[in-house]
Amino acid sequence: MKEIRAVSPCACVGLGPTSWPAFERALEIEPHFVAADMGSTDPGPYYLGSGKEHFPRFNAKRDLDMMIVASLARGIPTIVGTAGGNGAKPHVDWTIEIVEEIARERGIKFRMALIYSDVDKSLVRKHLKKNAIRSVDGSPPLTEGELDATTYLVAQMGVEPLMAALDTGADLILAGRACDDALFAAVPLKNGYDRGLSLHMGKILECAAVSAVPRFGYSAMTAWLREDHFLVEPADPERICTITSVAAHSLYERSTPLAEAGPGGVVDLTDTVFEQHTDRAVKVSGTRFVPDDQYCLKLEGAKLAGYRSISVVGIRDLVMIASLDEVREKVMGILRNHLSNAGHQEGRDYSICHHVYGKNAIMGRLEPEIRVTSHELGVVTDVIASDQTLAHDICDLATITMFTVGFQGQKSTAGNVAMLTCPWTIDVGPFYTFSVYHLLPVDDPLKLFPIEVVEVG
Amino acid sequence: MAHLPELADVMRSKAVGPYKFTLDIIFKDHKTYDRALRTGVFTKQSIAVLYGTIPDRITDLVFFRPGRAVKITMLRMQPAGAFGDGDVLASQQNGPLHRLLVPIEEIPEEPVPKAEM
Repeated sequence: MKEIRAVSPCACVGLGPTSWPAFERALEIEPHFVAADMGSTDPGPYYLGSGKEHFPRFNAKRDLDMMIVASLARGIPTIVGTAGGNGAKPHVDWTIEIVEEIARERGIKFRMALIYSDVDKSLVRKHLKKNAIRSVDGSPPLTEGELDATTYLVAQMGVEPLMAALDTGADLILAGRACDDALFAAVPLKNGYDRGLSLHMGKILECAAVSAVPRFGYSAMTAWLREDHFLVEPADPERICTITSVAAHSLYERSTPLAEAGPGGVVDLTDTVFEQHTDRAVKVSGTRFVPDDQYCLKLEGAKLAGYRSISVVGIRDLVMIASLDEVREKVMGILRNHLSNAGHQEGRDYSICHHVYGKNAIMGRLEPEIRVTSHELGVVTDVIASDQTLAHDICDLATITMFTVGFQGQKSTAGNVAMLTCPWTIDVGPFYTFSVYHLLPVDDPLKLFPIEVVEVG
Repeated sequence: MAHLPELADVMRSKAVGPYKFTLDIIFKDHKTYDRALRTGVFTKQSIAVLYGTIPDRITDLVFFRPGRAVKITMLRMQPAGAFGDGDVLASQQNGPLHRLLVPIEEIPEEPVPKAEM
């Protein structure tokens, strides 16, 4: 039977304890390729803005080593996307260094195709002037100021650059920011398989056994793609795929299960049929790809927005717990006055807030629970300032003021709060925020993604 | 009356890009899913009340029978990781769902609401 077989070892290279036995077992299906992503914007703006990775290096090395060795032994490509966590140049280069280290240590040689995904700001500026940059998924309109301040700007590549990279005969494709499903659709599309089914298969595979029962993102998933359907089955015999586990995965990390928008079009699940194929495998058919009139790429960028210091304190005194809001207000009043006298203006030079654990630290204004019932509370003082020293000093001052301030009914007069750490102020370092999350129209899906071929080892 | 945790296997929240988060409710079985939906309790209005917000902030409410799931997506109060944010990955925004009461005995004989895009 004509088919493409695919293996996904893990939901994110480097992030978790990927099961080696499950991967070994997955390889028994004799896959045509192995693919996995290394991240997304989910971990937050710091990682994109700073160019740093969000997982341990040794863990990334282990996963990459496993995939490269398996590929070379079988003569099949390994496709890794969103290299280094966010896929900007420093992330890709960090990953290349690991790959080269693996080659050196193992004494192996192979061909690597690199696809960078960094976007020139001047190109975006040009489109911005023509009002051609669109907001997406709730992002505010892009401004030139935000664009200028962006430290790293990437575009999520679709399947086309990955297909072009396969043409180089690479054993390893290392891509910058890429759509997860595209990593799995590149080989199928090169072989003429249906785009909707290929991408839907990719969407399920990209999280490995998250769509199995019991669910686990670090246990391999296998798939068979055929002309009008695909099958998914977890490699670990202790896990199964059910109609519900696979269908429910269509919900994961997106706003609607019925339509997944990506570069060039939408994967439409309206007519998708899920069937239990064997005890452990699910058959999927009916998914369609609906092309857009205009091919668009999603841009992602983050900017440096200050420096952060925090402190963590606990409160066990019941009078203080009952008076906390009043005390916090008093602390903020004293602080603002003091800082204003020193020439530091809130909003311009610094921002400060409290996260009150035990009250509403997690949900903030969305927290519907108004009663505080705990016998202890935690307060994180959170300061962002224009430089690290100022952030540190303001956090120190705010923390000490909360410790010492007097209030109505106070009985515990030797300190209002329990300091967790000494020093009590922790400097977190540079603080980044998302600055670009927008759609850029392009005529050519390949143009922004130069491919470089490197002979490794 | 039943609290949602008695009817659902999964009640999770997760970031969808930097500006939205999404809630997935996956019911124990299709029968429970159908019964819960027929109560009409899952509306933008009821979810907004549960979260102390306004229905306009809820961008999607989708019923997905193949996954016996209800999916609700809403705008975050601030972007992921921005100043004041307390849940970068929005993985703990599901708490209020535990309080949702589903009037499951009162089942009018009506078809299941159709998927809403």
